Amino acid sequence: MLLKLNNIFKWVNSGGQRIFLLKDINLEVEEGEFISVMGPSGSGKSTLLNVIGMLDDFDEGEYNFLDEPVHKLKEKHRANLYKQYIGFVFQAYHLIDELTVYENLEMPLLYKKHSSSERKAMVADMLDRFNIVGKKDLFPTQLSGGQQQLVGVARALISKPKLILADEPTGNLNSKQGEEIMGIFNQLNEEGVTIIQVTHSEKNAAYGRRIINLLDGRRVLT
Amino acid sequence: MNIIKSYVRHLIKNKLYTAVTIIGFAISLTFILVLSVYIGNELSVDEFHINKERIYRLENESVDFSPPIAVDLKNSIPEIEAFTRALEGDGRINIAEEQKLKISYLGVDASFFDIFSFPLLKGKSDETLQTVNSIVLSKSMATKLFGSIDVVGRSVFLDTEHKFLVTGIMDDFPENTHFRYQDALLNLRAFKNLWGFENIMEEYGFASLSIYLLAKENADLPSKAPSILEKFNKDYWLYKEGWATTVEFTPLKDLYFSTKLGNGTKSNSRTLVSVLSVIVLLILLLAVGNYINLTIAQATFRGKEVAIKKLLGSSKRQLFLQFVRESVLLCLIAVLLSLLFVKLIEPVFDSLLYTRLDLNNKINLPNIAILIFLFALIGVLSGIPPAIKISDFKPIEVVKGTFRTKVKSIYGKAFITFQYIVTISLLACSWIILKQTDFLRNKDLGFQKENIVHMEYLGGAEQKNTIKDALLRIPGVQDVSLTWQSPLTGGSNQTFDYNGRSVSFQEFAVDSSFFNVFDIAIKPTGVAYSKNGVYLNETALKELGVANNVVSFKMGDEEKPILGVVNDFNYEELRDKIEPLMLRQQTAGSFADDIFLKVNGTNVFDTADKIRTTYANLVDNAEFDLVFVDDAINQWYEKDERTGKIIGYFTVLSFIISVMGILAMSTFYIQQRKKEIGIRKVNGATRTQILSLLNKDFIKWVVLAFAIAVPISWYTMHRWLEGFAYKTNMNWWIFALAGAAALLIALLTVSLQSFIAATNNPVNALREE
Repeated sequence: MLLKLNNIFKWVNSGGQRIFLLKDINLEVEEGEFISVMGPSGSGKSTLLNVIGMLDDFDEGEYNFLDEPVHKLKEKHRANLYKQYIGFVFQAYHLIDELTVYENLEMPLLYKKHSSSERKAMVADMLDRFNIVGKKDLFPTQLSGGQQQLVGVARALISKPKLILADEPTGNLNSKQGEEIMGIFNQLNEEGVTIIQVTHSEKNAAYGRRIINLLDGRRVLT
Repeated sequence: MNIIKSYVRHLIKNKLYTAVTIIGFAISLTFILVLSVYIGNELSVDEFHINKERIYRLENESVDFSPPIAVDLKNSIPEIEAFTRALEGDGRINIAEEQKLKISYLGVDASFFDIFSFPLLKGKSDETLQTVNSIVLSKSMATKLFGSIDVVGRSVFLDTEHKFLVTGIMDDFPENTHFRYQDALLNLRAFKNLWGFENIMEEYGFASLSIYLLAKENADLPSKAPSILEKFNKDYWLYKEGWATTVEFTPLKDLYFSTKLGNGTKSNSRTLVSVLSVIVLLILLLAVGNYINLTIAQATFRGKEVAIKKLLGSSKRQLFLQFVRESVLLCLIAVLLSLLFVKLIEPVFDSLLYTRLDLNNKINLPNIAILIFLFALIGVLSGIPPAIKISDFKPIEVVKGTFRTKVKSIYGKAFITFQYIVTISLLACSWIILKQTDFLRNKDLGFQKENIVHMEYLGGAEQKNTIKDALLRIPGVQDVSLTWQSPLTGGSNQTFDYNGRSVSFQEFAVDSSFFNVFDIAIKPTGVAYSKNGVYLNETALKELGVANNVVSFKMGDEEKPILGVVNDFNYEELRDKIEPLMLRQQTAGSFADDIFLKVNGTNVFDTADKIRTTYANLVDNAEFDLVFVDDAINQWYEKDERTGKIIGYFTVLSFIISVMGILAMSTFYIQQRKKEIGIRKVNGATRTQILSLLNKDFIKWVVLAFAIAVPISWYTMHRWLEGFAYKTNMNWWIFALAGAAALLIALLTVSLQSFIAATNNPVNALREE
């Protein structure tokens, strides 16, 4: 079992009213799964992803990740967990504009204990795999949207995470670029990486082997 | 490396921020450096004397005592190991047949070099000042006279006829001692000949020299003061007649900051040094605060980077350290720049504060190490607040797109207010100081000071008429007066018994042209003319307590006829009220020290040149100075004027820093409100309405600063002006204008940014959503 959510509730208080962002969410995810989370705007998809990724907290319930009770862990311990096991891919890529492609890729490795030569090797590998070796000294602003997202995915992968969380990864891409990215996800999943993606597109959702629907913060059947 | 690279690229992208921060920091650091060196110098005065813990100066309300007192004390107080007296004089020196040069000297006792640690370049301390005709020359004077310092054993002449033997050469007095630079030292006994004062060493009535005492090891000399006071009150006329009432032993380290003027001493005001120290701290605060504000303001743009890094696994601590390191880097760059500035600014500073910073001598390893450490410390300290702020950003907010810099804006605004308080206060204070100095310089002194040339009288008593006639023949010279003492020197003190009490007058000896040259009106008393008749000023008359139609008064044993009364005129610095003055007449054989020439107002400098040439011929080319009386008088206020100037420069500096501060803050806040502005415009707001909306916020704080600055500066200036007998007015409009100036500059700075923001197409602002 990779992760388990039990009776997760998350709410905000607004003018005396309690508004639920997540209502009684129960979810089990095994290693190697490819899950698509779908639902209309405001249904809580991104919130769920953020909670799973330990970026956001919740108000009630339990969350176990690799048998560790995340809700009971200290901030530092939690950060170590997601640092080690989780990679993020965002809709808006979130690359650092002042760094080259090479440096952006290298960044996660800097926060782990790798020697300089190890890092070099790992980045070279990643550049190779995604066919962007020629672009390694360019800045994000010099790349197209699809290329930037490619770098974003590469960065998420470079520290060999067990789980990839993707929030609308093809949202800013055209159909061809989008297909390319989803193809890569497929490949990764075949290699054993667990993938949870949030998406609006039925087409993209089909790549996953399980679909979860959310409406107003709760899981629903369709 | 990665980290430095991204920082450097960030800096290059934001050139304005980088330039403003580095240059602003560098300028502030320059002033801090320079002032610290200066203050360090001032506080280490006289530190080099080996005996510094044991040296004291005898003092009453002033520092003047009689020569034999030193001997009396040594004989009666076992705690005294040695003493030296000090009496200053000046005159002309020459080697046989050569040009006479000006010389200023100090008459001391043979123990001088044993007590004080002034190095002797030639000669030994126990062989230099033993005899009445020995002279020790300073290195500069020896070089000027002889061209070398290997001149022990040579002879020189003082005031033409007095022969002296050079027994030693001393290094020029350094800057950091309370003794003014002297060209030479003589044995005190030399005054017997130089002044024709045969029994100077035994004369109790002559009380104008300083006495320095060296206490024995571990002896407590100051505790003897009460018993000495008792003795003085019984036996010493200075105390018996009430002219002095206290006795104290002032330690060497307190002499430089003393307000008492001694023989051959220079001093600095402790107030000035304190004020400068406060200014250094203020500037440091302003610079650091500015840097913190600017960096936090810039944080918005780096928030994304921070959040991503956190997302990718960076710990808060790592980010924190990164930002602190960036601060230190920036600070060090600013330091290097400031070192360059310091070298450039050194000469200006030297002339402003009347000192020699001697920076080249300060470049040594320990100092450099201290410098680097201090500025790294400043870098760290100013890096911490922004680092804390920035490393706190939550990655979740960037991811969600709800990232806002919820920077606590209250600190930023409070700081701006502080900057403006400082700026407005400085502006008002420097204005008032300059107004006061101007007032003093232009105040009517009661006598004519324009177009009067002054030179020292170098001839003998018998040459007076010859010299006077020769000078009168120069075209452009209207009148010539020879005097002993004058409005420039303040007169010689005469204390005498009058009707059972002690009375103190200042005395000049003047010739008949004196009143014409200085345009001083006399009210004749109708008393018949006599050679020993005198003129008194009104205060003197009041002091004597006699009726207005009095014909004479008894000064000691002598009956002096009063020929006329003159109006009170200022003959001392305008800090003091006018004291009683007596003008006696120059006789054929009496000494004259000064020549005053009244010249025609046209072609003044031509006339001055002619005077110079004629006079030089008359005195065998002896060295002399020719000055204009009004210039000499302006010199009195030079110190205050300098203080005003210094504060003026700091006002400018403070303005620059404040402008930079408000520029940064306004940029930041306006950026933050871009969306709001866009929305308002779409809903119909005009450019002007938006402008005033943005400006209103900042103006509030400047007005608050004004409200606080006015009472502070008013009070400070009020206290300062109390030190003057004559003061200018502190008009309300000075403060109003200072505030208005600050407000105007603030408005301009903010408006610039506001205007750009207000003219932006609202679509651009809203699109970023």
